[in-house]
Amino acid sequence: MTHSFQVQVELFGALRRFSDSGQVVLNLLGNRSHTTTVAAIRTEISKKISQNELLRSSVFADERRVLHESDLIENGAKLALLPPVCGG
Amino acid sequence: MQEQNKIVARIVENLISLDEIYISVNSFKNGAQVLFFGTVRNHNDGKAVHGVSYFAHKSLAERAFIDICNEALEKWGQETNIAILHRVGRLGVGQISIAIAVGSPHRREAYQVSRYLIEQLKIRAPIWKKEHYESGESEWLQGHALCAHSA
Repeated sequence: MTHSFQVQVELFGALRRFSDSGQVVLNLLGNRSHTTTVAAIRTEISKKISQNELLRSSVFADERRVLHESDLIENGAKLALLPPVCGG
Repeated sequence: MQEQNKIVARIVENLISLDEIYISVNSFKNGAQVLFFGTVRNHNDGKAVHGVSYFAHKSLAERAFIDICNEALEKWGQETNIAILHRVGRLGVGQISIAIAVGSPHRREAYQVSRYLIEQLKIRAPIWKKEHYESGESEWLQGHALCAHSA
């Protein structure tokens, strides 16, 4: 059985051009335990971000760390999408 | 008495104080202090640059700074003091975007730590910059892709 839920993704760097507010809200289908994966979120957000190469080279993160594609994400999660970095 | 090393790692919005960053790593046990400043230059890739806007994921960037500092301490000694301050916001040509200070008992380690910090944070800290050109155009700069163990 699937359940719908939302994930909020804040966009950084060059990804900001895809949202005036700097974030996108995704409505997904989760499993019985109300989770989905980072990979599923990537698939969903690719419908809103047309620049595939930039998206492929970007990673998802929470407030503490960069996430693996197989990491489980809970309903209501707030994530960040980080394109290639160039500080200094 | 063994003095514990100090690490200062911050994303900041205001001008970086040279006195503050120097004092933050100063210690009577140090025989060397190395200061590195990254500044906004007036040209890049053949274009005249008017300024640069810096953006960061603050919590992850500061965490990446601390991870990199701890790696440096592991490699070159626990007696080292380190401060990293990185600006966000719009900076003009000549302004300091990043300041790294390293205080160490010996110059060799101080130089090695300083070099390690800047090279690693450029590819691991979630910070982005958008260049503003004299022509009026702006452009996000290319960077290094992060991976799951890099920030």
